[in-house]
Amino acid sequence: MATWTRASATPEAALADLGLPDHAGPWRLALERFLAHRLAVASLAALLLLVVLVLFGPTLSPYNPEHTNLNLRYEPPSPTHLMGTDSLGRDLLTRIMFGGRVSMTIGVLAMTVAITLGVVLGGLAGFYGGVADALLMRFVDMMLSFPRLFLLILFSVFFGGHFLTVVLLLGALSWMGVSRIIRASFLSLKERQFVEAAKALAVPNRVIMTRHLLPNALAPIIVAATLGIATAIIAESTLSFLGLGIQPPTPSWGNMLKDAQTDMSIAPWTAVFPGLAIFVTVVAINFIGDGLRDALDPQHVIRSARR
Amino acid sequence: MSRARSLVIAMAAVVGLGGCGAGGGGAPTAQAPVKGGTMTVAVWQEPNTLYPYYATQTVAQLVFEISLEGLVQVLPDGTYNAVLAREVPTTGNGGVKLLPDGKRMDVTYRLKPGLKWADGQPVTSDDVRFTWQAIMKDPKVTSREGYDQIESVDTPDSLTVVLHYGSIYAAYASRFSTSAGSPILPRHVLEKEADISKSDFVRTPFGTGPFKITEFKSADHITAERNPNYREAGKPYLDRLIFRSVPSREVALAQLKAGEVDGMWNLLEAQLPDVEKQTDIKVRAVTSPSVERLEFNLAKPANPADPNVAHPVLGDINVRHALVLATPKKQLVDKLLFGKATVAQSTLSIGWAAPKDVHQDDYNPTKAKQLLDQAGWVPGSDGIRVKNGVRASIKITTTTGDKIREEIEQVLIDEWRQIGVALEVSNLPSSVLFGSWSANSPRKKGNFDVNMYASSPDIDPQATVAQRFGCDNIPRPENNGLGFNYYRYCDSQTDQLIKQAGSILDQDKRKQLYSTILKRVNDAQISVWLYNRSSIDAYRATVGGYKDNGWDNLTWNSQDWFVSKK
Repeated sequence: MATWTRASATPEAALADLGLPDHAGPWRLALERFLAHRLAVASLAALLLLVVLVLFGPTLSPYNPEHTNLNLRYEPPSPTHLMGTDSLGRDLLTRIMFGGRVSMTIGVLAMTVAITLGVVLGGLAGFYGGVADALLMRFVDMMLSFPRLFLLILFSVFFGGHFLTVVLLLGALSWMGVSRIIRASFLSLKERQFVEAAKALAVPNRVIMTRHLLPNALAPIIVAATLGIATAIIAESTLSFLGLGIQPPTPSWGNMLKDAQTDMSIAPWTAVFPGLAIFVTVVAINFIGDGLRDALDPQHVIRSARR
Repeated sequence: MSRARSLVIAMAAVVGLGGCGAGGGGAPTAQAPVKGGTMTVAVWQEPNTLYPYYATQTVAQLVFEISLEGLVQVLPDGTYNAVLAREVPTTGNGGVKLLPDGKRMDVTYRLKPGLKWADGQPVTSDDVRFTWQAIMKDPKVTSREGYDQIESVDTPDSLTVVLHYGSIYAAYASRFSTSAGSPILPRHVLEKEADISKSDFVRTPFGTGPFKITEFKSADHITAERNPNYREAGKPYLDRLIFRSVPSREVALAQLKAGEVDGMWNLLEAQLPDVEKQTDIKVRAVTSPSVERLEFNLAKPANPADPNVAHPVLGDINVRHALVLATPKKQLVDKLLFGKATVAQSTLSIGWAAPKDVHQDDYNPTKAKQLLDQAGWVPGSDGIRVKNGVRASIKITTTTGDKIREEIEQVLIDEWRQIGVALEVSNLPSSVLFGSWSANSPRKKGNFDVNMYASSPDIDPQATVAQRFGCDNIPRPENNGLGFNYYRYCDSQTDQLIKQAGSILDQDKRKQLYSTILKRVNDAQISVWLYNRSSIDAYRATVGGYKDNGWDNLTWNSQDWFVSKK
């Protein structure tokens, strides 16, 4: 178990503190630090379990998530229906697994769109500085000043609740924070000597940005990406909850919660299980993000939870 | 020390006041009307206009009915009652005179004396004539049914108006009726407007009703204040009536339970078990003529649709018939509505004209599949039928924020897929779906496949039958989107029968004609009549004065409403 440690002054001291041989690479170090974060490891395990369930569960389930059976409405959890049935007699566990596919895929894809946009725009702003920087960052400010939920709702009404639309929409409204982080990273990194050296060697800007700057800015990107998945899942759930995201009968955790609103008093399991699924996923992702931040930022003080 | 003392004094004051309040407000449950106060009603669809002749939504009529009244209204027992007129004109009292040529009639209304508009101006027969002219001249009105039968209007004196009908119009009594959403408009206010749709009146109308609408904040609330010139002395009891916009029935019910609103509009049958358990909430459920239906578009969806171009899938009567057969109406009513509604067979469910011998086929998916097989719709590799390269794939549209309708949609998706028709959900907010022709409403423009919603015929079915099944009432660019024949259904024989039913005064003969018309409409399979809805509204026990009226809106007697203990 890792103990309280001062921020190490030198890489060698850091290695010595952790009891590692001093030829361990930075990624190995990061892994060790991550593994020291108990909650993050537990969350990773939980998330992996969920992902496996969501990937393989649907094919293993004997039930069709869209097949209605009005004679089996609101069945409480039982051996035949492990999570009970919903208001149209559909097996809840199957729908949670299918819904998980939808919600998690949207989460990952939306995050990808957001990260791509954020890295490109933030990177360009940070590297070139000057007018480009000013313009791009004012554009970011403008995007940030819009109330995100309002825009999400507005565009959903216009463009419909299809899978691709939701992904693009969520991505297009979440890249701003990442761009600022990347911009800050690039701004400081581009003053470093190895960049100066590359410029002296007439390495093209494009290559400097991708080969030299980007790998060094990877740590905040990874953390932002991980947390971005959680944000996207919540945003998709909110949209579907309002009736604007994924349309029925396709299940998503958000629209399952929406349908369960009126049934809380007669069939609480219809709300509890989808809610729990969102909760576990998002909390797990947040802890993993926490662990990654600890692992990838060498300046960060390492701590552990004390009993 | 002094702080403690002042605290004690403050607490004593509060207890004292509270005691006074409790003593005075301890009124018995048999409620005597209390003058004053504000009442808030939650509505979960928003009107897109409050001008009666542009409005297509029930919720719009719900709101404008508190400020605009007609010459007559329909009472809960289905009879007519005079409102602004002194009496309902009939052949018996001389109000209706058939002209010697037997082809025309004159209907005379005499106004009650001393009536005033909310701004104090007198109500005269000129206002009635102006209303008729406004309906006929304004290109944006949604329907001229019946009013287009009037050739001219005379006003022999300020309280008498004579409508010269150019034909025998059987449903004359239902015109200028509050219950039909056709009130009298103030001439002195509207004649100045070149384009009524651009005036404030469409958002904040006032008339002779107990309230005048003073504020309309979109997506928020509509405020109405007491009309000081209302004709019944001492009424309305309320000072203010507010309609609060909420996103869904569920939110409305939650606010009602929490006491944030005093009443809510239009509950679902399925919500009754939950609401009936609450001791401080009262429910009124009354049989209404409202029928929930699936409406097929017989024309190819376009903006606007051309009624001469058939829908690639729904244009085939066998497909429509199969869809009727594949709809498990009884199960929907028993399970989703907890048996608190009845299966519908036509658009007329109650009233003197409701036929007893008109039916639709019962649930029989096997027969549906046979029909489609025989009609040449062959199942493809994914189970969805194809004919001549056209895939049987259609979209269903209903109002968003309505749980029961969403559940029905999902049941239909499942059931119809089993007979080989792919159904996809494409819902819209009520104000968009039920919008006007100029607002590109998909229903008006014919840009849909299947619509699901409810509609109520008036006590006289002629307006409904003509507007929904008559060839002239297909919304078209030529008639600026007039009419409610969203099916784009046109059958010359049915049309003739409709015109006949509207032009004779013998009620028994008319009833027979309606029976024949509705049979023909059902044989054409243009609609699936799902179920007959009850009119269900809920209000807190502190509210008094509510009275059921299945033939009108919740607000039909808003002048009698009061709130006690406020």
